[in-house]
Amino acid sequence: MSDRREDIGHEPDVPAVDLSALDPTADARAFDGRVRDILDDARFELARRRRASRTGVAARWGRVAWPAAAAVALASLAVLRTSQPALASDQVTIEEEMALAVGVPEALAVWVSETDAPQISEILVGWEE
Amino acid sequence: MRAREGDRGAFEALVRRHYRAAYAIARGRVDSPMDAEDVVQDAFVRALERLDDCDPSKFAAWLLTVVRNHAHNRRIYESRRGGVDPEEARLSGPRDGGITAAVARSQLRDRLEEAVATLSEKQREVLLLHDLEGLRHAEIGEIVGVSEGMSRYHLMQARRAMRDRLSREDLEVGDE
Repeated sequence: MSDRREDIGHEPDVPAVDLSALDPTADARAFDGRVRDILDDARFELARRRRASRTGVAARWGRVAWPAAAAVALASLAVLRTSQPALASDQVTIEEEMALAVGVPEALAVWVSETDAPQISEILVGWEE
Repeated sequence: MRAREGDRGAFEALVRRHYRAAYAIARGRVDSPMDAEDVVQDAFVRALERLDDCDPSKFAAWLLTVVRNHAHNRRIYESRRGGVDPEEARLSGPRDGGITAAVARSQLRDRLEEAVATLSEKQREVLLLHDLEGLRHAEIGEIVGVSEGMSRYHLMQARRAMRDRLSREDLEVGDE
C-alpha cells in the first residue's frame, strides 16, 4: 500500500505530522520478531491446513482419476471388441498356409478357407497376380 | 490463496503486507501500542482460522474487520479488568523483544504516542490509516464506516490536535 502514500502531507488545511516513528514496521528486526511471533502462534493452524490440503488434493485427484480410468477401460474394451473380427479376418488360416506352402499364389490361397468357390475369372486374375 | 492450503510463506507475506493497516485499526481502538500489537497478533491467527469465509478479492477489508472486532473485545476485557494505566501504556511502547528497546522508547515516539492517546477513536484510526498506512479517504471511509467527507474532517481534527499537543509540549520544554 506504500504506493498510495502520495496523498500524505497534501491535505489543504492542516499539514501532516510525521508519524514514521510510530510505524510498527520501521524497525525491521523488531518487525521480523513480531511476524515470527504471529507465525509461531499460527503453526498449528497452518499444519492443519496443509494436512487438509493434501487430503483434499488426493480426494480431488481421486474424483477425476477414477472416472477417467473407468472411461479408458470402457474405451479399451470397445476397441478390443471391434478389433477382434478384424484380427480374425487378418489371421492366416492353416489351410491358407498349406496352400501357400505348396505354391498356390497368395491371391488364390485365401479361397481355400472360403465356403463359396471362386469364379473362373477370379482364379485367372489371382493366378496372374 | 495459498495461505488457505497452509503455505507458511504465503501467510507470512499476508502478515507483512497488511500489518501496518491492522496495527492502525487496533491502535485506534485500544489504549496502548503493546495491546495493539497483541490484538494484531491474535487477529491474524484468528483470520487464518476463518480464512475459508473470506473472499480473496476483499481480504484487506475482511482482515481489518477481524482486527476491529478483536480490538473491541480487548477493550471490553481491559475495561472489566480495570483498564490500562495510561502512564504504563505510554511507557510500555511496542514490544520488541528487547532488541530495539532504545528505539522503541525514544523521546519522539513517546511524544507521538502521548499525542495520539489524546485523540478520539475515529480520529486515531483515520490519522493512522491516512498518515501512516497511506490509504485514501474513500478506502478509510469504507474501513472505518464513515463517509469520505467525515474521514477528511476527522483527519483535520486529528492533525490539529496532534500539532496543538506537540507544540504545547515544545513550549513547556522551552519554559523549563
